[in-house]
Amino acid sequence: MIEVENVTFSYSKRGEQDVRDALRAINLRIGSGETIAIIGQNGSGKSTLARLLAGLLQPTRGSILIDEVPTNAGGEALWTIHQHVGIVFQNPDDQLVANTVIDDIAFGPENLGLPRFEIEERVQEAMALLQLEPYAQMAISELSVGQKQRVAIAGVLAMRPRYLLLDEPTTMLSRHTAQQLLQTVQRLACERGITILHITHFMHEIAAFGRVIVMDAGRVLMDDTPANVFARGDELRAVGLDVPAVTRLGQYLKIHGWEELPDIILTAEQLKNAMLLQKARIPAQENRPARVPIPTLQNDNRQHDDLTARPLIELRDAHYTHLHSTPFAVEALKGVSLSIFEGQLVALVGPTKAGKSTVVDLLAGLIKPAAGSLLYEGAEVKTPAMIERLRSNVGVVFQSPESQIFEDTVGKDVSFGPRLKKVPLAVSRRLVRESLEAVGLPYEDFRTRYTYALSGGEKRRVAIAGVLALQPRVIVFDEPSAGLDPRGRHELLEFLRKLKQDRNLTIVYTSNSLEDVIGLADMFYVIDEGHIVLKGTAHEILARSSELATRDIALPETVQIALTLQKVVPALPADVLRLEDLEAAIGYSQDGLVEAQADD
Amino acid sequence: MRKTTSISSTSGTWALTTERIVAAGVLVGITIIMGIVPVLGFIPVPNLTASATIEHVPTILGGVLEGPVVGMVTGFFFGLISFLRSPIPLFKDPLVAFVPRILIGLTAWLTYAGLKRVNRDVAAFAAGIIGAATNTVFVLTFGIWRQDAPFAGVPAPVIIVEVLPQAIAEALLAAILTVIIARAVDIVRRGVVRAPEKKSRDELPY
Amino acid sequence: MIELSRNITFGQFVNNGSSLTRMDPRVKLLCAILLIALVSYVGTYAAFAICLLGCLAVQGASRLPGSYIWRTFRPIVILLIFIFVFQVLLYSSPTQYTNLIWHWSIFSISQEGLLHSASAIVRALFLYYLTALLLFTTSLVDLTDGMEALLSPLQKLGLPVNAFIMVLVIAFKFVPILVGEVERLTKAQAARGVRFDSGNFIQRAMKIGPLLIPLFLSGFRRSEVLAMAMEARCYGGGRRGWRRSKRRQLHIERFDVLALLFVIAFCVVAVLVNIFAPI
Ligand SMILES: Nc1ncnc2c1ncn2[C@@H]1O[C@H](COP(=O)(O)OP(=O)(O)OP(=O)(O)O)[C@@H](O)[C@H]1O
Ligand SMILES: Nc1ncnc2c1ncn2[C@@H]1O[C@H](COP(=O)(O)OP(=O)(O)OP(=O)(O)O)[C@@H](O)[C@H]1O
Ligand SMILES: [Mg+2]
Ligand SMILES: [Mg+2]
Repeated sequence: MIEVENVTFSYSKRGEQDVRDALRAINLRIGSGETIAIIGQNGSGKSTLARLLAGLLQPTRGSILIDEVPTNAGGEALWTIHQHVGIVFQNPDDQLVANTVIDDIAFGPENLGLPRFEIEERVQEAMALLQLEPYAQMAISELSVGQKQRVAIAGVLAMRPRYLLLDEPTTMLSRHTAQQLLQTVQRLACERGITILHITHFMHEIAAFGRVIVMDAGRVLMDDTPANVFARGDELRAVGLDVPAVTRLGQYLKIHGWEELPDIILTAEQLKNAMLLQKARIPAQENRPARVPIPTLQNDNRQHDDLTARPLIELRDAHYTHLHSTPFAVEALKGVSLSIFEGQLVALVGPTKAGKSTVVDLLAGLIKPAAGSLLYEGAEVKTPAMIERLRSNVGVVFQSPESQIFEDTVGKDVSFGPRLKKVPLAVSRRLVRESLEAVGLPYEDFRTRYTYALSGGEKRRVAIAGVLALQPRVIVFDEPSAGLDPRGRHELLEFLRKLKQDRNLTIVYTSNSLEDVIGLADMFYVIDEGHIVLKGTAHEILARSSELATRDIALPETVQIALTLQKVVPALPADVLRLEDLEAAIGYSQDGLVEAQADD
Repeated sequence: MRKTTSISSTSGTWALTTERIVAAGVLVGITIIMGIVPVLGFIPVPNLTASATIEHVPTILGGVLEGPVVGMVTGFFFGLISFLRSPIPLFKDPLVAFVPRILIGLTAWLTYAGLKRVNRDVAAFAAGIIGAATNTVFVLTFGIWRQDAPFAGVPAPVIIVEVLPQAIAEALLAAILTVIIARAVDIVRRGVVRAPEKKSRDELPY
Repeated sequence: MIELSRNITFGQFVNNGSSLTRMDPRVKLLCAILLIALVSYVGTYAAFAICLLGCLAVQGASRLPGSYIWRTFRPIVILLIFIFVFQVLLYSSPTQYTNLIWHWSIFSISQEGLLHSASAIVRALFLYYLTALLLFTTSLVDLTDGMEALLSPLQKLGLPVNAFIMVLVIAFKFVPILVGEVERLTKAQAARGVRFDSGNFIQRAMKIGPLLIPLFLSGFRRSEVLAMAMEARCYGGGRRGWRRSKRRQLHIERFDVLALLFVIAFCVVAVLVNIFAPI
């Protein structure tokens, strides 16, 4: 049992006036075996609360009791609390200690001074729970982020905690991996009776939890079941949160002919079952919804299929091997061909380690293909002069752009490219201003800001501004949405849309899920294990959705819902890109369905 | 984020707390990287070994930013790394590899702690110079005393003349890097948001 | 052009399952220390010849391709030739009597100089070979576990050996992470027009700042989170009377005993040869 009594916490040590309290008068009671999701926008105090509960910070006022032990008692009491409360942070790289999986999981039990056989037993148990046995002896650096996060959780479980705090453990993971992880966590709660507190930004993850705590500006705004929380959609939107897409769809359908649906739908499965139930009960619908034609995808994509058009950049049968002729050699690309036409947004989608970043490096002229060729404007890039030309026309925003800022102030960082090119100062100032404003950062405010003091989102924007200031014709974004919360993703996509419209830039975008770009890109290439396995427009790609799933590429949420609902509405197309299309499509097909039934 | 509590009971200047263990670990990690990433570790100087190293910078910074324990522990492992990996025969002598490097952390801390009151930048600069000089002086002394290659049988004055350009380059580099990195860390730890503007805007590219 | 060894960490451990990789780390470290001490001690060419035999045996046991070893050696050999020339030219014998072959100003070539410098270079080659082979055949875990076990007597004397080894463990953990960070920074700068492979001393030095500062800042930031995560897992560095236990138990097998005996015998023979050999 965790008892939080009237807790206030401030990060300022000397009670400075301008520092807002991070937590204000929090009261909570958490029983054992509960599964709780905590949501709230950035800076609302979620992480602070988790650190207080884990005894890593002490409340400024009020008290926290973990199984009747106060967290501020220090010494042995704190030691006990650390044993009973396990905490997992967002980035596994920041918390794993040892170099191999098994050693890291053993780290906690070793600290407890347990005898060898007991350590062994706990480690084996934790590895079994998270299916890590095959990786036991592997080096942590060889694992994917998802696997690392599982190791982090296993390391905490090996301490046999009563409470497990997860501070945004899924942000760095692909959606598919995140779902698996959450299922595991739920299973733990069931089988072991561990209390789970899961902090997240993703609304769709919440459905499976027993209780939701919504935080805003250091206070608890709501504390209820998921259904009751999502019933207050307007209040959620007011504090920057939202309800999941299925819930919205359910609400729409309930108004449009499916009156029997429950008020709040939490998962696609639930929606399917409710719809099946209603269909069985009422064989024929009386009030038919209005017939809405399925909107076809905007077909304004410039067609480049005619043979006269020349791609701006082209890769022909490119091969590349990292660390060539060493025992560590990795054949990353095994014959990749792709064409990028002027003004297009090309998406390169593939699971982790598929070779996306290697393609990006090739396109940016940072590495040369070992075999095959790279063409820019039809000419092969070979001479240093050509490489120089390619590099000055292709800007790249690499994976995790926030760790690519290298100057101390924003102005210096953004003006870095112009300075190297020795453009006149006045021109450089204009470029900096335009680039900062394009990414939505006020020039006057930000030009002298220290880059160290920026938030993660601001750093990303500065990194993008630095590339824009180079005035490239092509910008390559390498997994720009990884590690972003939903709001960050939304802003990024809006930005890309604007960039493409206003500047007619050519954009290459890599991702491990189709969710982000599906409505935006003109052309898709799906890459796996160094080969291009699929290419085509959004609809052509989605038509092969089963194949995508086997390659561990997450489908857009709307497509997943559509696939689930096909059991109810067989005529439902799988290649729906927006929620509105799905709503319309269900209305339309239901019409067809009803007519078909009437014919019987 | 600086922590407000800790289960460690002692935390004097010389205690090896968890924070210090981890900080030393990071600094040793950076030292290792400087040895394997060419752009970081070596800068060509017109000199015999043809490069000035900055591998002692993490050790100096350990002393300056985290105190003597972190500085000396980092120095010890810097010694171990060069003992295991350096191609120069000199550093295959444990005395030459370890002792001077451990002392770097100590002298850098002493210098910085002594001059901090005057001015942080001056203190960091001096700590950089003294730290690098500690390295050079002790490596040379032990190397000549123990007659390790490439110094065996070579008269001391010749060695000193030969090593001087590199020593000066290393000391200056270490000093400059210590100042700018210590300044950046200070900005982060104090949470300063905006840089002061020294030049008029017309002279700036931004 | 920009190819960073993302997966290569400190030791470049090649896990080929050879008997050396499977050896007990304590024994292996002990053997390595003995051999290193031996090579540092001996000075006659006859003894060096014996050492060469020893190295060939070790090379055989490691089952590493000779070409791979040679590739890591190439840059070092060039450096050593450099050092050799420097030593020979500047050699001045501690005694007055030298067989001069050639001399000009302060530079000279003498027989003693040649002999002395050559033996120093040969010794350096042996030392480099031994340490390189130790790192090629030992995983980082073995390295830290072996060091911890060998140093554990010092823990009883009150030295914080465990904390010390933890520093190394954490350093190894950070290497791939920080290399990734440097990789991103260099790429980001190269894509924005920086050429890392050109420029004079000052220019190159100027290019290091923008790589190092973010590296140190990110390192310190990560270290704060990690220290917190470690305390949350009950790590108590500096806590009075606290002791860790260890999951891994090291086993000494017959091969280890034989290897140790062999190394000791080998050392004795080499030392005897060194004492009685003419050169
Ligand atoms: N180390 C710190 N020092 C000072 N202030 C801090 C620190 N960490 C967080 N804060 C402040 O405390 C408040 C709550 O932050 P907290 O990290 O708990 O939010 P959060 O809900 O976890 O946000 P996010 O979703 O971004 O992780 C914010 O206003 C933040 O600026
Ligand atoms: N610098 C490098 N050194 C060694 N191997 C590398 C290097 N860069 C990439 N690889 C390897 O090449 C393969 C392709 O990697 P790449 O980074 O291109 O994939 P990716 O699709 O970008 O993956 P992710 O989603 O993880 O970023 C992987 O097996 C990877 O381990
Ligand atoms: Mg947080
Ligand atoms: Mg990648």
